[in-house]
Amino acid sequence: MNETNETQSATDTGTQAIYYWMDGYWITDPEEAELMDSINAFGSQSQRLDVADGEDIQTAVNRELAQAA
Amino acid sequence: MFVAGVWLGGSWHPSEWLPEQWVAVTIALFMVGGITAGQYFGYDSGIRSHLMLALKVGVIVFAVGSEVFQTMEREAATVRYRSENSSVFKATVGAIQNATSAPVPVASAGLAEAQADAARAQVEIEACERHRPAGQARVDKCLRIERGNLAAAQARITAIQSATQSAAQANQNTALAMVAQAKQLQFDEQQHFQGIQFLSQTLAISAIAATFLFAFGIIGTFEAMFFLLGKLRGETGRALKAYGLTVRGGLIRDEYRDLGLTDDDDAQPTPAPAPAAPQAPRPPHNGYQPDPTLQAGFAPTSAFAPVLTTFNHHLRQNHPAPGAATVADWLSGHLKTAPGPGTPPPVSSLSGASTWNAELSKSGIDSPADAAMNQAADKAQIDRIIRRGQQSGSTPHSDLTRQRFFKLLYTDIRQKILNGELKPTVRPVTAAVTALIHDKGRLLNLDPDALSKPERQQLAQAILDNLEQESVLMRNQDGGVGKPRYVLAPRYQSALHPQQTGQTGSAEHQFDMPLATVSKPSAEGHDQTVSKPSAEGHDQTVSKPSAEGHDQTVSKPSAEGHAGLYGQWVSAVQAGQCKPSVRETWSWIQKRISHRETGSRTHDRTRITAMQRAFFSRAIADGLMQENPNYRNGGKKYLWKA
Repeated sequence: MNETNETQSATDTGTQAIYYWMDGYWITDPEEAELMDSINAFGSQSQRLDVADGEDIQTAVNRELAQAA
Repeated sequence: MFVAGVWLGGSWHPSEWLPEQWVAVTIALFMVGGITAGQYFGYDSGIRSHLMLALKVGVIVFAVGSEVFQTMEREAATVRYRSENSSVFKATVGAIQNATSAPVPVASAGLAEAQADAARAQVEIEACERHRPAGQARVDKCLRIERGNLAAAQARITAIQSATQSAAQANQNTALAMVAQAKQLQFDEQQHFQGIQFLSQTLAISAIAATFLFAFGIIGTFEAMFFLLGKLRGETGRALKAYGLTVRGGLIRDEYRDLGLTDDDDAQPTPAPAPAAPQAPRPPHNGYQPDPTLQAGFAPTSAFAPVLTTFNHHLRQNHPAPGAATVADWLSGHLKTAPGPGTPPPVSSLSGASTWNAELSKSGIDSPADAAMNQAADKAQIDRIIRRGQQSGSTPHSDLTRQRFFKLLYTDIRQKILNGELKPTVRPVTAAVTALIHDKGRLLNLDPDALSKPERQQLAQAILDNLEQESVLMRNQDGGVGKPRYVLAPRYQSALHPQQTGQTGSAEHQFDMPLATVSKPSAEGHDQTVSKPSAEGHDQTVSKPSAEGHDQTVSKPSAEGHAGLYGQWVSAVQAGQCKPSVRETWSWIQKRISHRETGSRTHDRTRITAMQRAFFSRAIADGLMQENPNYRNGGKKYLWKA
């Protein structure tokens, strides 16, 4: 996964890619997310989410978690 | 001695020394003192470098060489003394004296007579002309007779002189031979030490070579012993250093403090406030609710603070009691002041310096009457076992202390089982109990060797039974011969292997966190948008169809990811097992992922550094840690919020 291309494509479409875990923690760096998943740092595997520009990221994550539940 | 002997030129009488010789001796003393100091510091230093190796080699060569050569010199002096005082040598010297002083036996009487005869014959020859009147024949006859007499006299004279010269030459030769013999006898190789003679004859080498081997063997043995003693002292010092102790039994920390040294980039957790009541359950920590099943008195797994993980950590966390010079003094002083059985020590009665008892109190371990303790399989049996393990003659400690010690064993092993570091079976738990008793039993004068293996197994079994009663363990449904009796409860298994159990996140704890999203500088030093845990302030309880076909209400963890490795790290920091510093966190992570990583990934320092930074970012986002606003070089870069 190419972070730069992904970021550009996300920006082009007006969204931002973030990576979140089931406990609600999220980050924007895909490499860091992959690294954390490799050691099961947060008790679950990260999921990618495209958040629209201007939208509150935490709210978006919470919504995803609620839907997944 | 060797150096001085060389420089003194063989003069060993100080009264006869010249000023130059006094200077030489002084310099020799400084030289030897320097070499000895080099031996002392070099053997003990533990420094490994080419320069240190060269120093050690030089010191050893000089020390061994000087002592060997001095020993050889003394041996030679001994041989010379013995030889010169031997009877054979003295007789030889006497014979020389006799030979050189004895007079030459000159045959003076015979020589004088011969010379007189020769003179008389010469006179008669000259007087033969008096017989001229009797005729020429008479004169010839006279000449013939007297010339014969003269020749005979001269022959006698020659013989006598020749004999005299021969006698003198013989005396001279005898004297010379005796001198040569005396010279040999002056240093008789037969006067060597018997051991040296043995070496010489056995190895067919000269006496001086045998002397060298003999001296080298003895001196070399001593030097090797000195070297090993120094090495042992260095290794002992390094082993003690791991416990924060110096070779003299003091605390390293005290020495650092006396020297004005400060800690490096380590963040010390700020001490947690003492609980309001000894029996009160611990308040929620960062929205973290203790498991209801542990209300009996055990602190939650991640919040328990084992007291004596290392002497270093404990003493760094606490201040030693006044007057305590060593860890042993401090511990014995506080153990002796432990309150009697049944009386929980009031926190306020403890000295201003935190103690072992106070640390237990902070962790909710205050009273022997804890409900969890009463659940022990056989409390009396455990007390009996531990009491028996105490050394005879020592001050018996109160039941409170013994029970606390069992609780220390219990909670430490419980933590290990929950972390997946220890299997919940008797054999590994017995080994863990043995190790803990060895490490910490001495604090209570508990002789680990006094507890037999069956007794330690009983302790292990009691711990496992307790864990079953606590619902940490459950009976193995697939039990049978060869199968473990207990297995970890499913909800704790999910924390270790979320993928295997099909669960995500951790159902162990429920969190209560305010909703907040902030942008904070990350541990790497640049801005990074991070998240804070989301929770709505209460558990998210949803309905989810289960595998059995009916709805199953589950609780979804909503914050902090304490089920994974990050959660374990947070627990470890709060428990004091790991400092929230870059170095210790890095090391903590590396040890725990080594069994997962393979090949080059195991030792990829860059990966581990990235993990450590991610943990710090998360901890800052969770509000567990903050950057030290007053940070300066050599100080603490991060501060942990209890």
